Amino acid sequence: MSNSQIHTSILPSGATFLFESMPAYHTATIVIRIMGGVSSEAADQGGSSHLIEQCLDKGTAELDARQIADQFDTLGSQYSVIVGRESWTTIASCLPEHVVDTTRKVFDLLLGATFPANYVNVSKSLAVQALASMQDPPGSLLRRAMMQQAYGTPLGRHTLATPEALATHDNGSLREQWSSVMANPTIEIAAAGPVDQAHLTEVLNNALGGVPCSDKTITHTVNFAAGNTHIEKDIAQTHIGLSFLGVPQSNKYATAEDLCISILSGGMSARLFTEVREKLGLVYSVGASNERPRGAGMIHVTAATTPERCAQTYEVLLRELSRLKEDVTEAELSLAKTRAISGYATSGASVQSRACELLADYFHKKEALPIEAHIERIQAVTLSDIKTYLDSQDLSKVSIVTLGKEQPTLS
Amino acid sequence: MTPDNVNSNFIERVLPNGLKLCLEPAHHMPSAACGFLVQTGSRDETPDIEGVSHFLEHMCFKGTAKRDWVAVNRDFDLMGSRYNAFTSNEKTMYYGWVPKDALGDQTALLADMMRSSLPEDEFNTEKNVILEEIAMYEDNLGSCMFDLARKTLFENTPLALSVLGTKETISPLKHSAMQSYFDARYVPNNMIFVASGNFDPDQLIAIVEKETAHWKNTPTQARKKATPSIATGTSRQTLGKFTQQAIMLCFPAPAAKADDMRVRVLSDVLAGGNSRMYWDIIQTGLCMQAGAFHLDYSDTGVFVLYAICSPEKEAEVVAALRAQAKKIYDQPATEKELTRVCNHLKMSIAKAGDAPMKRLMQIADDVDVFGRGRSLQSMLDKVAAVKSADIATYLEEFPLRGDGTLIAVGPNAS
Repeated sequence: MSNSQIHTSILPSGATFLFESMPAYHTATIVIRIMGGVSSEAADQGGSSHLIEQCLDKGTAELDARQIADQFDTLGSQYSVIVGRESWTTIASCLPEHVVDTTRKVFDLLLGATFPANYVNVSKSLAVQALASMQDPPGSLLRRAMMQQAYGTPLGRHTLATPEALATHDNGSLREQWSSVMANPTIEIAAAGPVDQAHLTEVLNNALGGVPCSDKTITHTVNFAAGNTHIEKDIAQTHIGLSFLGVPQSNKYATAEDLCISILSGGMSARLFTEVREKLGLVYSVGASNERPRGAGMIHVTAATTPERCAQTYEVLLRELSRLKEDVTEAELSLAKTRAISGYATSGASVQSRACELLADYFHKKEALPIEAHIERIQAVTLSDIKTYLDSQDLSKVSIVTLGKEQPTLS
Repeated sequence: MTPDNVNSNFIERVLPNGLKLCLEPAHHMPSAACGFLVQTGSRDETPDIEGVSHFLEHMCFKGTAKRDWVAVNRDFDLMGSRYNAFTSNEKTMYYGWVPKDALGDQTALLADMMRSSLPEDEFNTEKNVILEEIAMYEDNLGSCMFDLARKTLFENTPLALSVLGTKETISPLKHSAMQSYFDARYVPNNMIFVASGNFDPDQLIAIVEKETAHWKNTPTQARKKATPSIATGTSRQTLGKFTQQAIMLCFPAPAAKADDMRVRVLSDVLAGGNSRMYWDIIQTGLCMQAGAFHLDYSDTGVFVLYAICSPEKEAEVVAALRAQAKKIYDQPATEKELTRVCNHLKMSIAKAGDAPMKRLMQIADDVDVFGRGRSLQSMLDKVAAVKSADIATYLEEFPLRGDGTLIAVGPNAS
C-alpha cells in the first residue's frame, strides 16, 4: 500500500473537491455526490428521486438521449447515476486521457437536464414494473421490508415508492424539483487516478462557475420500530431479517462496531458462518452487515433456511449475538483487523473504491482520510473498546422481518 | 499467425506431474490473486451422481491431512484473503485474492485443499447446506429459467445435468461415490494453476512445484460430446409463485473453443447500455430487462435473446425479441455500433489490468478453453478487427432466422 496523499479543496462555487493521485493505475474515476435523494422527497413526492436518476441523461437543450449516450461511448467512459437515501451519486470511470471531457459532459447533464416527457413516462412505466418484479427475489423483498420497519420514515423509504406515487410525477414536476435542488446544491466531488489535479480543478471551476453551492448538511432521524412482521409468500425457504440500532460513523466506537461485524460475518471463519452453517448445516446463506446514514447506524443480520429449520436457525442467531458480548478474544479481534486492513490492498485499492471512500469519509466527518489513517484507526481498536461498544448495545430492541410460506414461531 | 499472448508478461509451464501453470505478473498492484481450476463440472457426472462436482467443491473446504475445516477457513482469513470457489457445467475453480506478501501462503493452502481428505463426519452436515442451496435457487426466477433451458436444449446430453443436482440425487449420494469422482477428476493433468498481480514468478513456480510434487498424474476420461437439440418450439414451465415471466429465445452458436469474437461483438451490438435492445425494448417501456448473450461450452454454444417481463406482455416481448433477430439482417451492424463496442471493451480491459481478481478469472477461462492465456491487448485487437461484413458472415453460419427455441418460465400457463 503506497503512502497516499489526499488534497481537499473548497472550490470558488462552494463545492468540495477531494483528490487522490494514483499514478500507477490505468483508469480514472470521478464521483459527484449531490445531497438530496429519497429522504428529502416531500411526503407526496414518492419516487421522484428515482425518476430524476433515470432521466438525468435523457436530454439537454443541445442533445437528445441517444446523442448523450453516444458521446460517452465515443470516449469509452462508463457512467451511472445512483439515487440513495441522502443523495444522488454520479460515478464516471474512463481512461485518464478522457477524464476532462468526461467530467465536462457529466456536468452538462447535471446542470442542463431537461427531463423529456417521453422518457419520464417510460421511466414511470419501468419503475412500476420494477416494483412488481421486486416481489420475486426473496432477498430484495425482505430487504425492503427490513428497511421500512427498522428506519421508519424518511430513511426507510424505498426509492421506487408506490405505483400511485409514481403516477403523480411528470416532466414538469421533475424539472422543478431538480431545479430547486440545483439552485443551491450541496455538492461533494472526489476524483482518483493518474490524472492532473490542477487541470481537473480548473475544469470543475468552469463547470460550476455560476452555481452557488451550499455546505448545508441534513441529518434525518431514525424512527426505529422493534416490531415483528411476517410477509407470506409461497417459496421454498423462510428468510429471517433482524435489525438493531448501530452507531453513526462519527461515533468513536464506529470502527469497533465494524470489527464486531467482521467477527460475526467477515469470512468463513467468522462466527455466524461457523456456527450456523459449518457446524449445523442449517443454511446456505447467513450474514451480518452494517450501514450508516449521516448521524445514524443500523446493523442487519439475515439468514435463509427451509421452514422446518427456521426456529433453530433463529435461536442460534440470537445465541451468537448474545455470545458476542461475552467472549470476543484477542485472536478474533486480530483476525478481524487483518481482514479489514487487507481490504485496502485488494478490493479497496481500486481507483473507483478510493474515490468513493474519499466521499464517504467527507460525508460523515468532513475529512477525507488516506488509507494509512484508516489502517491506524483499525489497529488502535482494543478488546476493551470492543467490550465498551458491545456493552452499550441493547440487543433486546430488535426489528424482525420474516418471509416465507408461514409465519415461523420464534421465541 | 501471431500468438495471443505476445506483448504480455505471461509465464506458462507444465510441471512434470502434468499440472499446467499460467502466471501474469503485474508489479504495480499492491495485491495478487491465484487459484486452481479443475476441468470438471456437472457435464462430467452421470445422472446418478448429478451435483457431485458442486458438492465436492464444498467438501474441499472441509479438511485435509494437515488442516481441519476450522483451520482451512481460519488460515484464509489470517491472510486477509477474499476467497471462494464456484462450479459450473465444465469447471470448478478455487481462488483467493490477498495482499501481495501472502500469495505464497495462499498458494500452499489452495494446493492443500486440492488434496482434500473429504472428511466423512462432515459429509452429511454439508449435504444439508447443499439442500438449502438447492431450495434457495428454487425461489429464483433466473435460475429456474436456466434450469429449463439446459434441460430443453441439451436433452439426453451431459450438459442437461444440473450443477447443483437435485434433492433426489443429493440426498442419497454416498461419500464413496464422491471419493471415486474426486480421485478420477482432481488429477494434476486435469488442473490448472493461475495467478495474476504482484508476485515474483520464479518464487511462485517454486512454491507450486513444492506443494504439488507428490500429486500423481493419472489419465482422465475424455468428455462425452454434447450436441444441442435446438429445434423450433416452446418449452414452458408454469410457476405461479413468480410475478414476472422469464423468456429466452435460443439459436445455435459456436463453441467457446472457436475463439469467435464476432459473436461477442454481436451480443454487445444487441445488448447493454446504448445498444439496440436498450433503445428498442427497454426505453420504449416494454420491459425492464432484455439482453443477449452467447452461452458457450467447450464443444457447443447457444445464442440467447432474453427478457424478464410482466406476464401479460409475454407475446409482445417475444415478438420484440424476434424483431431484433430480424433487424440485424435488415439493418446490419454499423461502424458506429462497432466503435461503441470496441470503446467499451477498451475500458473494461484497462480496469481488468488494475484488478488482479478480475484478470485471474479471464486468464483461467482462457487457459481452460483455449489452452493458453490471452493478453488484454490481443483481445482488444481481435474485437477491433471485427467488421460489419464479419457479423453478416457469422449470421449466415449461425442464423438467428426462424422461430428459435422459446423457453418460458413464470406464471403464464400458455
